[in-house]
Amino acid sequence: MLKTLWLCSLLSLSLFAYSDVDMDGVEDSVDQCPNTSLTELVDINGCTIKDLSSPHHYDIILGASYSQISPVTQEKTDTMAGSVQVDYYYKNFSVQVSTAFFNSESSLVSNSGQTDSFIGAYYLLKPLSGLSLRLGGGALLPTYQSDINNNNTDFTASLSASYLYKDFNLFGSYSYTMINDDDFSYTDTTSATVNVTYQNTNAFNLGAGFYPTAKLYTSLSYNSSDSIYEAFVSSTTGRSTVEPLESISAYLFYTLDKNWFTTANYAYGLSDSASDHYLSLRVGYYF
Amino acid sequence: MKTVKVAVTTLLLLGSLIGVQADTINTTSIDTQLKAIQAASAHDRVKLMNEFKQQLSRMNAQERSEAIDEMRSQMQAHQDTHSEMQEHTQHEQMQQAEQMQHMQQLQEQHTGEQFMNDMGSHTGENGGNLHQSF
Repeated sequence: MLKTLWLCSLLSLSLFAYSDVDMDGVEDSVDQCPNTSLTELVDINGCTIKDLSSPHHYDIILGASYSQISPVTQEKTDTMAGSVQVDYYYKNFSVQVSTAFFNSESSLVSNSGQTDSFIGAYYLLKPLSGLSLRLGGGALLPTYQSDINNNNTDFTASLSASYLYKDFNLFGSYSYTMINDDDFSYTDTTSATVNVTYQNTNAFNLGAGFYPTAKLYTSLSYNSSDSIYEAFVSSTTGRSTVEPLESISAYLFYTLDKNWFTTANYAYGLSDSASDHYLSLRVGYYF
Repeated sequence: MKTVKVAVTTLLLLGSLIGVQADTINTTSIDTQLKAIQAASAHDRVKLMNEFKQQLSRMNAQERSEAIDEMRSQMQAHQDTHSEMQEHTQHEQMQQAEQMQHMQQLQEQHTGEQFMNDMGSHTGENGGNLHQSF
């Protein structure tokens, strides 16, 4: 009798202990690729041998953003923008096209129009389980009509890394942008000539994220980017520079269903050059 | 005319009967497959699971959704990792950060232009006595 009970307990324990999170038929304890999707056929180790899903995917994202900046030397400026973004994904490769329309208001100046438009391509690498690297390159097309008519195409290259362990995610990215806008000079109210020079920018961010549920992702990050202005050199007061744009941001991604998703991002400026507040809401359709 | 009506009715009845039968066979087949997967050895389980996935890929969206739901309930999956969704999330997060950077740089550019307009002498169409220095 005792032997039977002992065997039954062992059997039930082994049944409850069985776990196959990605449902590929390979138990988690021996699954060497624990996150394969249902569309992937796997080998005895649980690693992909063939992907049955269509390699072509698209998404269309509409967004609205608000940002406010109040540098110590100037009036507070509020900027509202509406954006549209289209992505095409083919296996590990993706292409993005986006643009936005803005309206900027301060007590002295009102300005509206189209922002620079972005076209870029990314390549996803997965050197290790849970680790994703994205290499990107793109161009910021000069669709923004600058007051000083000096806008040119800028080029950008980026590398981002993301490490996912269970429901936790650590990420970081670096980007380098070649600012090709023409330098210019102007005469200020004291009749001094001020030369304004642009510089290429380095930007990076570091953050940590978490999936509280299967549909929700949330993260916090620190972001820093060089100013696009290298220096303002006045013939009377000398050279002044602009500090980097630093902010901390909170991000939410919510999957509404298998096609629809929504994101929210809030950033708080840490430096005078950064927007004091930046809020962005987006809705996307992925197919 | 009557013969045509009878023929059409018969065809419709047969069609719906076949549909119901096919549905029952499908459900039974999935149920049987899942039981076989659960009972199989480690090696055979992978093979059967792969066959099941291939069958899923041939189903329409509705059938696939039902089959996956049934599989989830039968196989007592503790968690759905949604690896594709997670990948998409990471991609979106990166894009969002880049877009924020572009927008902040645009606002910085506005500020620079506003500064120039505030401080400069406003005689030209472009907001002052600008001298292109390139």
